[in-house]
Amino acid sequence: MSLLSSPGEIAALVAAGATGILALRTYNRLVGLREDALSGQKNIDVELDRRAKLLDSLAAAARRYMAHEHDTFTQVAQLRAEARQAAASGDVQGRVDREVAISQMLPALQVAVEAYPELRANETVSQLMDEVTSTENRLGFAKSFYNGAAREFNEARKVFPAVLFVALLMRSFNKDLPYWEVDATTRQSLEATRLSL
Amino acid sequence: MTAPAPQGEGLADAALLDAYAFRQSQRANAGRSAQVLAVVFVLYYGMGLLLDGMLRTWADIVPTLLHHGWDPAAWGLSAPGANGWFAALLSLIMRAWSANLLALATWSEVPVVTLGLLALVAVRAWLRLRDPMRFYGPAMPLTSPDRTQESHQRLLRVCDEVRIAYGQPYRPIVRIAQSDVPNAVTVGFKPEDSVLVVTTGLLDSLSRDELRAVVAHEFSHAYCGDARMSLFVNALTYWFRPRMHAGGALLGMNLNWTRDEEDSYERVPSKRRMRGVNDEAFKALVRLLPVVVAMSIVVALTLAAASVLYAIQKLGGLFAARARDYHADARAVDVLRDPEAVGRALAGIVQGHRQLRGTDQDEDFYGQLRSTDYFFDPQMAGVGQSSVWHAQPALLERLSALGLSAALLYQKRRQPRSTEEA
Repeated sequence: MSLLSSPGEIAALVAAGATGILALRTYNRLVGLREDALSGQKNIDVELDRRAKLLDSLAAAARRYMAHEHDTFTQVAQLRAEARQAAASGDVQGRVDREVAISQMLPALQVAVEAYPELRANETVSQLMDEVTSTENRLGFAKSFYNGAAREFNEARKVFPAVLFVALLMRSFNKDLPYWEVDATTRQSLEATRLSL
Repeated sequence: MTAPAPQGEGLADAALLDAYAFRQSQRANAGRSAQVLAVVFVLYYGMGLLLDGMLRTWADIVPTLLHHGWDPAAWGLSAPGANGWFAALLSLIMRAWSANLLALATWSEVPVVTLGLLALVAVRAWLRLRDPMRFYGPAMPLTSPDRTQESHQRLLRVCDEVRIAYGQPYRPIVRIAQSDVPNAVTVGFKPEDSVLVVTTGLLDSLSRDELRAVVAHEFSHAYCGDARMSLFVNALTYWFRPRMHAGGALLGMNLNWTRDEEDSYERVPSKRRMRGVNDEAFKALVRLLPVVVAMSIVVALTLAAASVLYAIQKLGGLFAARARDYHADARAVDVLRDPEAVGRALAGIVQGHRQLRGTDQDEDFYGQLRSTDYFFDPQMAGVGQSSVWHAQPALLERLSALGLSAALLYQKRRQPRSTEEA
């Protein structure tokens, strides 16, 4: 009773309550957004893994016909192994570079498949090639979703008043999620591939 | 399309795309839907209070009449106002209604009747829609995708791509309808138990990225719970429509100014059955009418209110449906980064419909089930300008919302596949 004796005290209490609710809501929202983004990040890994397995199957199915392209498959396998190593050692950029390199080799593979009529006629191989297309799309969409989720999280933790809460109370959110991007040299070579196709 | 690395190109296009515009469009259309929801909520509240008042009036009428010396046996012969009961009735109605109008202004009462009606409608909707397959089944034979067929496999892959693009753990179930009419529709309340129905005509006439645009649009409906929203907005129109028609018939007017086939989730046979029941009820009402003429003022007020509320809700629902279509388009572009594919898919569907216009196929497909939820129904939506009476935006408005020009699209759109049967 004595606590709520004056209008000023009531106002202060209401303001404190409102701030507390706002802080809780901000915290919960940020947790949700961060988990969205992190699961998106892991889904990129899932798609990369899927692609790797698919390339194995393709190599197995096409080996009979494509003795000449053996080098391509060996190269892909090697890049995969390197990527896996880089991932294990926490070298993110190294891994991204390897995966992008695999992406760049796939058009050449497609062209190669087109060059072998008996291979194109093989049902398993043609299905696998459509699966490769789909997997590249899935990978692209997974990356794109991750970037969207990261953008949302980064935006949400920097807008007012979330930025105050993050600075004062929620230090664990005080870091932007990195976007999935390729470095300058990779981008240049990607452009070159695109123009040459 | 079959190049395994759309990566390089896709990324470059994504960089050029003005993603901000599409996010703006999503926000704007989500806002429009929210406005409709708010209006409908207030409407339900107000309507409920008025109905409460009406019920109270009904409950009070007979005792009041008796108290004022009403003789039931002589009823109908004696002139109104003879014993002052007519004035008493009027004052009672005024009292109940003004009390409820006051409650509406102060929000001091819970609209019991409307909550009850909404619960009834919800149960009915749940019974009808809990199993979309059963709902669609008798009208349209649907089959599961056949994994040995390349086009079906492609559809399934496309659906998974779109699910990943939305970052969702589930995707709707996919079913195929055997029809050359190119169209797609999604039904169901939750993403995990909704069903995407795609016709074989759509699979045959659209390219992979066009198909993906259609699927992305439909999945947006599923993931945003548009069916749920539509049900809430339209819930009480299902309740009020028969009453409005009864009122119209009473006044000798044809109030059927919205075309029947525009109602979503209404299958033709069951609707006929429903209307039959209502006709019977209406006839019974007419037979009983002489007995309850004293209450006809209340009835007339109900019918007038029902008509007005029906109109407001109906137009609001249609407006919201158009907003949801724009929203789904914008969202599809936001995740796929390819506005042109959505446009080309629309153009392709129009093309397909032109080829089939007037044929049995066309009649069969839309005769069975005319729903507002199709991806695009050229006949209903029209070309140039959207109509307030239609649940879908017109073709050109939809294209211009995507920043596309129709002429360019028709030029760019490839011819249907030569493998297709003539």
